[in-house]
Amino acid sequence: MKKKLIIGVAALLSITTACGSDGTAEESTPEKLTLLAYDSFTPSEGIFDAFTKETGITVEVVTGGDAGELVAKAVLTAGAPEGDVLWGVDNTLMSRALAADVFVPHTSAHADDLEPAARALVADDMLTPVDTGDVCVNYDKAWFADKGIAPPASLADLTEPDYKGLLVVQNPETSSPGLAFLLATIAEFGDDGWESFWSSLRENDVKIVDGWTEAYTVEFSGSSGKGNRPLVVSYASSPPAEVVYSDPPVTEPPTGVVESTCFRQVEFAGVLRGSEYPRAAGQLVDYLSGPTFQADLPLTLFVNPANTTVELPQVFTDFAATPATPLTMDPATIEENRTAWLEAWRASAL
Amino acid sequence: MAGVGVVTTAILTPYARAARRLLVVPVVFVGVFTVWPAVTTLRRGFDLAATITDGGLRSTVWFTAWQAAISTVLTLMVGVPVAWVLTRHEFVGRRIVRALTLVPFVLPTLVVGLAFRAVMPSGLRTGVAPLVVAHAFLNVAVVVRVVGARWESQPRGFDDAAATLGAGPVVRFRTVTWPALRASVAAAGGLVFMYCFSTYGAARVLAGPSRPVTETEIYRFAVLAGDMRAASALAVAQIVLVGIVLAVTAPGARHGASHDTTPARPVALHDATRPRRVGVTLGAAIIAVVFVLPLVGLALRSLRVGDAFTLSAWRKAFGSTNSLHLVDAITASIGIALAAAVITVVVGTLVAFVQVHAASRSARGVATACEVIPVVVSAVVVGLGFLLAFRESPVDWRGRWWLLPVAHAVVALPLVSRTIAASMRQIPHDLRNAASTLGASPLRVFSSIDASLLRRPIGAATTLAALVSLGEFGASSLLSRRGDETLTMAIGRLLARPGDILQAQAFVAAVVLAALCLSLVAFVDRVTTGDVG
Amino acid sequence: MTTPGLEVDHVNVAFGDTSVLVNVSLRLERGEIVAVLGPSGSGKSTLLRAIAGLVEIGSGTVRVDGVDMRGVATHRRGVGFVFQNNQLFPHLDVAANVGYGLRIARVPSAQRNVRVTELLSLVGLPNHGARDVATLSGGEAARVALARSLATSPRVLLLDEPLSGLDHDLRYALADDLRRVIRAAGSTTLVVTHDPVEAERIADRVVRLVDLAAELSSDGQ
Repeated sequence: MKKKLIIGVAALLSITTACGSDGTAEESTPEKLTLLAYDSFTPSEGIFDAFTKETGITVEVVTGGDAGELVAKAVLTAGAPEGDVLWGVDNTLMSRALAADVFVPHTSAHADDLEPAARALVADDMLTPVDTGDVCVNYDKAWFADKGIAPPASLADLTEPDYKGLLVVQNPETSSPGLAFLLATIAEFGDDGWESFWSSLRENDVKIVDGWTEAYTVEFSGSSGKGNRPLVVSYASSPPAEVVYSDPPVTEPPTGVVESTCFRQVEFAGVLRGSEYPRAAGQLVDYLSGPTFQADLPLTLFVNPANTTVELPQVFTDFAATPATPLTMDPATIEENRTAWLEAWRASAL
Repeated sequence: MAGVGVVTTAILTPYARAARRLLVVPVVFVGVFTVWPAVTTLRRGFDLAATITDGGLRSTVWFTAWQAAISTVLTLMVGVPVAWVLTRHEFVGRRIVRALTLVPFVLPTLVVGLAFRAVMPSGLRTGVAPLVVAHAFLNVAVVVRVVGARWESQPRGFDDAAATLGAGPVVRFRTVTWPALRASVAAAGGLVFMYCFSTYGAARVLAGPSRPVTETEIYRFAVLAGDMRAASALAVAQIVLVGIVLAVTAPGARHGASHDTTPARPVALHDATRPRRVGVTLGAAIIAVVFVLPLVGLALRSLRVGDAFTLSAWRKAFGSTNSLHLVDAITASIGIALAAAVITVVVGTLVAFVQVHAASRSARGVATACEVIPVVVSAVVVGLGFLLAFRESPVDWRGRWWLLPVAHAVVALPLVSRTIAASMRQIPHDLRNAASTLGASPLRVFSSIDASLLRRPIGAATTLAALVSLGEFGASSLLSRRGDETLTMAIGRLLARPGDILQAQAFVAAVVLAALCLSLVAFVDRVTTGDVG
Repeated sequence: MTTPGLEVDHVNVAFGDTSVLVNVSLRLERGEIVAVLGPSGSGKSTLLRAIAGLVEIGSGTVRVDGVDMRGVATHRRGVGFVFQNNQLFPHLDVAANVGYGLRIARVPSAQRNVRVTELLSLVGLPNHGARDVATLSGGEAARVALARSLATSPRVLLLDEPLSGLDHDLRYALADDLRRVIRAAGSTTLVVTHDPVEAERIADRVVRLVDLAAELSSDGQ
């Protein structure tokens, strides 16, 4: 019995290994590179054709899960990764990936064009910033106009009686914008103040849901779900997305952004340690941070390109909020405190 | 009567020896694609002592268990009357209504959760109550199928006999019907409890952040917090608890799952007494409304872009915008579902074969283990395990397209092997003996007797597996893949973006998925009851 | 004239558009045993089921001991019924099957046991109370079914092809037994069968189903 079992396993394995890729000398040029990305990584079709033309290498995009799942998998498989390059680790998750030694350093050919503040977040060019976005409180313009109330102007305003029962946020334990919003409140009110802010929010009847989808598309009154809460945590780029994906076309987004509540998220790409073709992988990172690819980002992923030489499309500059001084936080601080903060958040917010 | 049923110990059957050999296939399948990945994941941090003493984990497991218990009771309380209406009576549209009850079971829970939430009064949108109600809504189909199959085969004469002996409707149910159904109700209850215990999508949407359940916590610890110790602890607790529930209800499952045999003809509605006719008509109408409403909701959402009703989301789904490629997604969904169905049915038939025909108790036990293990192991743990176990030579399977159908096959295996085993047990052994005495070899006996008698249930099982594959989300979301996305993935991705068109297109995909599932279910029903109705 | 034990008066039953019983009338004196003959599919079973309230009557009246049964549910009619396939409850043993109706009527268990024992002796199956019904032979099952339906002393006893599943010799022996037991119980009894010999041996009087409607029309004119 046991012997047959072993034979069975061996047979199965031998069939499947036949189609595995074989490792060869490290400097040869691969035919194909694998780019790991989150599910909503949807750049324009054919965007990698230019790269293939230039280098002879085709790019295969492999997706699987959201940014959190992507990083979790990269951490678990550190050293024997599923691909060559990873797109989509952000500053709230970055330290965990760096601590697990997921990446090898690479300095982008376009390093000098990239936003200096974003680049400064990573030491030794372990990662290359590719885009930035802000997580901010969004509001339903029509709702506030109807009621004749001014939308809130700051985080502190959210605890005012005027805004009681109006806000829906995401659970920071399970949602990336939820975590960003929690970090925004910590950055704003400091170690001594943020917990009491959340207690006040709770008394002001804040609604906490599991993820962005429920918050924005079900509870929020300003989008497709026509919920009954006119304030929601979403992105600074949500208003232009509402314009681009509207039908019939509208000229003015139905939503606005409370700029002082914005927390800066920076997304990075990096060469995965264990890739057989680190040099070619580096070329792909160069391409991802270069002008061709970066120009595609605003209207496909609705993020700001990290490459400052790229000109933004009109609909984006018109409607996306670009807060001058968004709230930020050092990635190492985030990693150090995240567990404790989440526990404290549970105690004060739920 | 003779020859039907308990012949599993027939020692001299030519099948006994074959069963022992064939066991290799399911053992290798479950070993490689469930046990090994799960062990690989759990090894990253399991710590028994810490698990038992951790109060937070204990309270999570406790809450998960009691909400599952309440959900199960409610599901049975709703499901048994629904099964009565749908399986004891023949009326126009019965099959459609019956197929409708399966729709929430097969749609992605995220979609059902959102649809459900949209129709709940705002005060009742999150918390334990909506979670329990949603579980009932999702799982009524299980009760209808398992209990309904038993009820269908219950001759109506028993009920009439009891009536002529002076028993009123309530007494009749208690003294005649209930004893016949009890085992199948226990079996259905066990399955429902298991689904509610390992709830994921519904809990994420409806339970609210203050009420985490085991599966969502496994996900949170393993994926978001990177705390494999806590994730492993919960995963092991889940294996133990669900395992116990299955062990307790398994004997019932054996009796209860008498699927797909020729059922007694249901009562034609015009043949029933007036109060019963009114009750059944009203009941069927309520069931239809309750199960159609969410579908109507989905359809309306797919037609609503902004404040206007328009077909533009549908039109654009066939065009060349980058948001949704409907045809590609349908093709991908069907392709993966087919692959998953074929794998599941091959392995599931073998599991059933060994369970029914193996002479040795231990061989039957191993086959049952192959059926139970995929049920008790958390989907998140298996999903991560695929990643961790299959990445180095000689099993470097990173990003292979077939990992997805294989994962779906793991999830669908128990349902399929149960369906097939139940039918296999119903084949009178003397039929095979007759064939043997006429000179047929064991293989020939199987192909000429079993295979032709099992054609119908195997068809049904194939479709069940395809349904599971179409709606599976938990394990899929963690698997890396290249190429076309399926409808289920497209729904998740589109819902995760602002923009009316994208939102509407998510619902376009949901409507198409629901239609696909409905036609499959209708097909199953036609196949399984084709010669009766 | 005394009140008849069972009276079927101008009864019509239709399933959808198909008429099964048309203006059927029939009268049984108290304690009388009548057999209705007819080929299978002629509506014999439906007649019994209509009397028992298991199918709804389109028009016409059924009276038991002079009481109109309209709107009376089956379990309140005091009608015993022996079904074609006996319909013994598989989850109960022989004694529990026979005692079922007594339990429903809340007869105390001591009394119940006495009655069950008495009935089992009457049908020739003493000491078979603890047997599993699945192990009974066809003849034994028919006797248990008869004992069960007699336990509550029904005013009217209905038998639907009670001996259909049995082979010839056994059948006619059992027919005589049946008559003896029913006589002893004293219920007004209607038995339907397709076998004229069986009918003659059980019943006081034999009628043909096709004549029942004619009987009425001659009455009417």
